[in-house]
Amino acid sequence: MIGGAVHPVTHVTTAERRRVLRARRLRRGGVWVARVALAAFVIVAWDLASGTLVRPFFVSNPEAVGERLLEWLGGEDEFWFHARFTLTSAGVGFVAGAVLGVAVAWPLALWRTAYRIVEPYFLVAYSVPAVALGPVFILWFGIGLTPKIVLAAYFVFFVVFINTVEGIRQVPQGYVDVARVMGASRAATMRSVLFPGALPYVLAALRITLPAAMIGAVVGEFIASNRGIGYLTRAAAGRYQTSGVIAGTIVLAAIVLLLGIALRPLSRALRWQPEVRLRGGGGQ
Amino acid sequence: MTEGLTPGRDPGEALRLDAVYKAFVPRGRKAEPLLALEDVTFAARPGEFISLVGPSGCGKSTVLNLLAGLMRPSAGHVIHAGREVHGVNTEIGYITQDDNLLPWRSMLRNVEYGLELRGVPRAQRRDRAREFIELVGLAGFEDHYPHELSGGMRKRAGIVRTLAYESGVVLMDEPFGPLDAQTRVILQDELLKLWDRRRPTVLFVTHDLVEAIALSDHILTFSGRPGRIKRAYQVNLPRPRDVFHIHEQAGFKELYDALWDDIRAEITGAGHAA
Repeated sequence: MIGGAVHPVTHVTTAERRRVLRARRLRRGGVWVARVALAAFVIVAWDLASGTLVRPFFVSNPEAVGERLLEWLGGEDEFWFHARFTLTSAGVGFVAGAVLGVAVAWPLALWRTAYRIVEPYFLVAYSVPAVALGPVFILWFGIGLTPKIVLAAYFVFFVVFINTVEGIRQVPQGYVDVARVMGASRAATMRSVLFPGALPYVLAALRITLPAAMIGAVVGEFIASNRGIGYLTRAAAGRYQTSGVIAGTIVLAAIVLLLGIALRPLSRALRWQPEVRLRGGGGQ
Repeated sequence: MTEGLTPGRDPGEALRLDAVYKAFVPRGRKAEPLLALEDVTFAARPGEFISLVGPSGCGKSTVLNLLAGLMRPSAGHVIHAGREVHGVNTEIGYITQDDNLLPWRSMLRNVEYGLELRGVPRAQRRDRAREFIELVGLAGFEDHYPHELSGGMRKRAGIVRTLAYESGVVLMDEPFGPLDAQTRVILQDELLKLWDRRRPTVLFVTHDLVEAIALSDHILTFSGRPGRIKRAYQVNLPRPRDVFHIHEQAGFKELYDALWDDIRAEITGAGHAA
């Protein structure tokens, strides 16, 4: 035996482990406490400023906004009717945009010449602010559900399209060559190499475009609508009812946040997954 | 020194390059075409282990790509099993410089991949894959993904993936390049044992002269760009070989010196007289 005190190895390691875990837990707990404190601080500051520093007309106050939210969420159907409308247009638009994005990306990624022909047009279409297209879509599709779906799909389509193409292209040529030499047909190469190789990019694009679909739907409602949360918010603004505008914004932010959390598992769906760097940002 | 590599077509040859030229046209309007291979002729009989050595960028890998059908010669004939290679050659095995394991497949499913593409039934290919995994000491890591394996393990998996479907010709492009010296020698030893099971024809690209001597029956030295075959050497060391002590073998030093003189001339530029 060398040295003095006897510390069986397991004792040392479990003690160290306990110490590290406790430190980690404390740090994480501290961050959460600070977050809640920050939110409370902002709300209190808002409450104090309203009516003293700023006229309530511009910023309303927490009580009024809270009242409005309770009235909406607790109400029998009016708010939920509008929420359903917004979620429907965002949801349908998301699925349509995603399916179309992937479907158009595949042949173009495989057939380079075709991609090079259409690439500039896609880039132009992508750089047009989608908001500017709102009135056009309304002209074409009326003020019902359709233009909102189209607008939501438009927000989703390009990000999914660009990243699917990128996902297919970044699959190393070596994988394809090795598969071909081992006897893979074109179809087998696509199924066993290109598709799984591009999948992380597609999933990541889907994850960031779901909130983008919400934005598209709401933008559509802002422009012209008689339904939806965007409409509710706009109508409140039309009545100079600031608490309604702020409550509407909070509801939209909450929905986007919840969707983001719901989709978070997508980013960890694949155990082998590499780091994915997305193109096209968060859907404008 | 060139027996076994004599010109003239012989139907028993495993592969042959006949007066092969390969030029690349780089991007840019004014760029001159680049001659990678110039008048390369050699043949391999079934079961021979042949190494190609030479300075980097001398077109050794191009030779493999031509035989794999991933590239077409600019002139000359590339022949495998008596037939000209047209399009991707699925009759050979190709172990590339990067292991190219598919990151979304477990090690076992990577090793199975070639068999799967060749339509071997599931149970059968699983057995075969496990047998080879066992041979290279990877048992227990079947469910690991490539990023969870060490460099040496990935190399082993990549090699048995190709050897598992037992093609008659195996091309290897500096397969042990990025490994540390110890792992390299161990893998050379394992490769020789695997090769000895069925003795496929092997074309092995390397720039490690000791490796070339330890593994091969013949060594072809290449000149720098454009790649031409300078000389063919026969390695007369007995098999099975002890790669760990290969440098102690009689005849090793003479061969090593001869190869090194040949290659050094290319690296220092003395061979560029033409």
